[in-house]
Amino acid sequence: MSALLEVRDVQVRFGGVRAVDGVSFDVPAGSISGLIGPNGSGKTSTFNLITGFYSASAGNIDFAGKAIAGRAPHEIARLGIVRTFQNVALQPERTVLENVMLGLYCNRPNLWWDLFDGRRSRQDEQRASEIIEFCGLSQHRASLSRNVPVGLRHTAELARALAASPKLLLLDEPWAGLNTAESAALIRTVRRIRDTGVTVLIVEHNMKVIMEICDKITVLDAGRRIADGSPAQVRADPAVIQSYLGTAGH
Amino acid sequence: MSGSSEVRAGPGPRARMLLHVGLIAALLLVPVLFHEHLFLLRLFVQMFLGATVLMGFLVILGFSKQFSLAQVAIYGIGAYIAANLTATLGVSFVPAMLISGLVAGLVGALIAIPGARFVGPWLALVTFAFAEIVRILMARLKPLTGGAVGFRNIPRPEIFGYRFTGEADYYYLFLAMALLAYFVTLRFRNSPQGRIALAIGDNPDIAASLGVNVFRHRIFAFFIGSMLAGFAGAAFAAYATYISPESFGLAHTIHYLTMLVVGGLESIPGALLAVIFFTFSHNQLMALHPWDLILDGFIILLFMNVMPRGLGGLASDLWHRRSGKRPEIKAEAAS
Repeated sequence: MSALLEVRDVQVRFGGVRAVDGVSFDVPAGSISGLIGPNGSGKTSTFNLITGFYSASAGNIDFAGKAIAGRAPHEIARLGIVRTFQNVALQPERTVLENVMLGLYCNRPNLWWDLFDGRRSRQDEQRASEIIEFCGLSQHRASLSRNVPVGLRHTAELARALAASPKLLLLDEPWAGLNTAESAALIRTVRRIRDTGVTVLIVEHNMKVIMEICDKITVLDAGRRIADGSPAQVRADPAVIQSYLGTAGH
Repeated sequence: MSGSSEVRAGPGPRARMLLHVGLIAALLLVPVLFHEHLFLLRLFVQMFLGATVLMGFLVILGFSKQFSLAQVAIYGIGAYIAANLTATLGVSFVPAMLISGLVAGLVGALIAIPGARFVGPWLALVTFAFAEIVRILMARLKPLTGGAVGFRNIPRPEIFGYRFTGEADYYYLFLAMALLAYFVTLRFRNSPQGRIALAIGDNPDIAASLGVNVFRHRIFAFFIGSMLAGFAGAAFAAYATYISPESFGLAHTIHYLTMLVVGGLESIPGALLAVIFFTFSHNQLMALHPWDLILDGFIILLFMNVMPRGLGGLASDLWHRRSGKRPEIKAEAAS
């Protein structure tokens, strides 16, 4: 598999602290990849770098052959990298349908005509409804998103991201706080998204899910990459064991 | 005007249509039934004027949450441009009103360019400074504004040969303008542009992560909102035939801000209810008494503490309770 995203030696500094310190990894096209590591290891910072919310103090990021480091978040989203947020970021006072419709406008070249075009608006509703159904949220389509059960909010955000037709979807801890049934449903949803040709990169703390779902895993610790490979390779890697258990090898 | 009933909560399209037609018909009948009650017609004119300015403010502050304090200054710019065009240059009313609206819109967009780099209280400061500069210029640029004593003898409108004379003529002109502002705002609210503006207001990072050029859309919202204020200013100049800087001070913007708070900041019906209430309780859209401002302060405090989401939020809550849209808390397994 060729790499859709290539991250090379990127660095993020906050004052004297290096949140991300020379990290490199690839996300193969068509894969579900994972980015894991202890708290504070730089996972979300790496996401913010890829999506343009932080700018790298050093390093390169190539997406589908284009250098994207230093571009604005909305430009990166239009190139096809769409993310969800660690602290679920839905619009609480809007319905799920309205939230998801927002994603549809990502790649629309001219929004001016839509001011007058009611038919386009109904097509958008139709399309958004299909995506909501695909994500198993039909029951909550007309609910305000603040009334959506906590366990489904990340899925709603995922639906909104999907509406933006991403090539690469970045999910930031989507399994946090889910019960067993919700977790299994989300695993199925993410796999079905991958099956439609979207590449997925996940930051997650739930090791069971990560090991089950990912084709490839990158492990960070203290802003550095300590391992990279298949779930089996990563699980057996002494550096990973030491990082997670603290005492192994001594 | 809106797509369907399911995007947002609220009554269905047919009920909305009936409500609109009924209200417009009632408003059209007011001058016929009350043509001798000049005071009442004046109140309605003020209400339509206030509604137009407020719809513009709703787009800027309510939807995209750009804390502008320049709305009435821009409304004043529209009024002075129209006064100069009609009284000094002899342009007729309709083109003068269009030009005033467009120029006011562009001025709004120009403020938004540096303004979009600032947010929240910083934008409030920038627009406050702008509003003060405009007010001082109105008092100083005598050849264009008449100075502190004001601009006199602004011609009454003449539309396609019909010369405005009575209060009822103005009533229909201002009703048409308010309806236009209302439908523009409603259409904007239910279009991608409006959803994007609201998303920027809710959380600009969400919008940016979905490909929205936040900077550009903030400017666009400012343009629309300022254009409506400019139209209102032009109509006001032609109605009052005399304008002076004291109609365009910061106090008036605070008064509109109070109305937005009462209406629920981003609710169109809430804002309209607030305009009705404020017009008929104060009769003070044109000249404000110091007590009105003290009252505004208390109203803002009261609503922020007791009903922070205003009349619009109250209506939305009641609707969701009635229609039982609150889902039961249980996981839904994906099929």
